[in-house]
Amino acid sequence: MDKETLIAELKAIVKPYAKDEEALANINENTDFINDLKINSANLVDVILDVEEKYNIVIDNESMEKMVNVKSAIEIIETKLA
Amino acid sequence: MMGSGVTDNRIVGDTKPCMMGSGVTDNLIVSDIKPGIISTGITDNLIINNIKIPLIGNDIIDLRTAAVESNWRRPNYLSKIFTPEEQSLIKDDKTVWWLWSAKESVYKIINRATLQRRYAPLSITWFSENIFKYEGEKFFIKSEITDEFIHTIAVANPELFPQLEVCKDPTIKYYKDENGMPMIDNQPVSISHHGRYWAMVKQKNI
Repeated sequence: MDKETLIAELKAIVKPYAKDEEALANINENTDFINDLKINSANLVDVILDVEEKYNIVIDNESMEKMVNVKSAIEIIETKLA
Repeated sequence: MMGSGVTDNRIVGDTKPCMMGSGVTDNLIVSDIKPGIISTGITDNLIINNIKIPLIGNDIIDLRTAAVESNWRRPNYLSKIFTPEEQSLIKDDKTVWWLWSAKESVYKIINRATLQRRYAPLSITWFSENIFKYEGEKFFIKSEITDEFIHTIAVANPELFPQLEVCKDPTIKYYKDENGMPMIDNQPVSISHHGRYWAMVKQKNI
């Protein structure tokens, strides 16, 4: 799966939780879930669960620690799918 | 306890912008912390220009907003953020968000001390009563729990509690340091907002 497809899929996942619509519209590899999209930290759990369900992967604690931005999320998904 | 004036969708204090200590109340679920337990960890103080600056963290949760935004009954939700022992404490919305506000406020201290981002709610664990632990280090919390909100304050050294006050006026002047952390007069303050609520915890003397 190419990066652009992954970002588009992540965009759909974070949409219900993102409070900054402009940042969501401009989502890219450098987008931070909390600082840019203003996703509240309790909803970051939902993002992680949604990613797990969508890709049928398990995000362990070690990976979860890094799930604060698009770049890390892509890396984690790619690693788990490999 | 809470101001009733609603301004700009946020509830602010009625008369005094900062409630002198009155906002720091004991937790309703568990009893007060035991005095005399002092952490000696590096996170007690931030040292800038040889001045020791005590670290504080706080987290406020609007229970109405949380009820709309979060479904903690979703499968696997609780196990991602709470240990089995913590999950056994959970009875309702209030216990979930009390635990979460404690972890968030402790995280704010750790984040400030280490300047590292780490989304690891399971690394901050409930220890006993109002004490949570992170990497062996104790952190002490106090929470105000109402039907509308939960507000938790965390410190590494419980002797700091009497020196703290809660300010619920979002117009209070503060600035951010080079790391983006909120400060007043070279002293760190902690800010939290959620839904209708905004809170700052600061030392009374600034």
